[in-house]
Amino acid sequence: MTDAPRRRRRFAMPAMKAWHAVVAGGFLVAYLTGDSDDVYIMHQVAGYTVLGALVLRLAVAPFAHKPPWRMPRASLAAGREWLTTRCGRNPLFAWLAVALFATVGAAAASGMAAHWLLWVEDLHEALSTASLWVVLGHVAFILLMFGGRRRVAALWRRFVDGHSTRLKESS
Amino acid sequence: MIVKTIIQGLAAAAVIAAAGLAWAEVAAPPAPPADSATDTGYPTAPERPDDRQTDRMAGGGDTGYLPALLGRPVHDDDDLEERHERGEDDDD
Repeated sequence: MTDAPRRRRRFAMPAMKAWHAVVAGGFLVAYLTGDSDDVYIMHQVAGYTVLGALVLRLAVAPFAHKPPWRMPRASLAAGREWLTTRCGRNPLFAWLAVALFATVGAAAASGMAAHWLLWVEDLHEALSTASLWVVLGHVAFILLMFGGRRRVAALWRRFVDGHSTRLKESS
Repeated sequence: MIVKTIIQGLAAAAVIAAAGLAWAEVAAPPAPPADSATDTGYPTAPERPDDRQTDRMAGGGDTGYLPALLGRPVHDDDDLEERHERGEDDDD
């Protein structure tokens, strides 16, 4: 194998992590500065940064054949199959990624439009609130999948064991 | 991995916020000139020493100039010799 594809694969994940940091950090700054006129320019810079990062990802996606730069593929059929077999990657990864792209992208784009069309401001605010909920869902899902599953399972076992012990004692 | 991701996001947020502040500084309109302060309604001391002397000799209002407030003679050093010849110099 030539060196170029190997180099590309080596930098693919760090580049994706940097991209994710830019989008997450930009969203955080944009959301926190959204209600204040004093830091409106900071809000604009953050919003345009997020929009630019999303456009960049969409521009690269057609040329990426493998994750992580390939666009997430959310399908109902794959979701149904996972529910029956519980094998493979959880489909919520892809579905949440699609939801994030849609809501955060719409919020950023409506923010750009609101700069010239004042009537779009309310829509921008509504989309931003919706995207915040999607972001929080994404964070909760990641915490559950990469750190919380064992803890949740341990808590559930403790609850079930404690319940069965109480039942035995009462009988 | 989650902690690293959070730290990377916060670092990016700090950089973006700093970029926003810098852009705001660049895009800020220039400060208004000092003369426009006279429109604020606040009394200001005359800029030139001659103005201060004229105000005092004409019995003008309080200019806020400290020697005038303390009752001390307000003189311009350039005119010291001339006033001395005229006998008006009553410096301590």
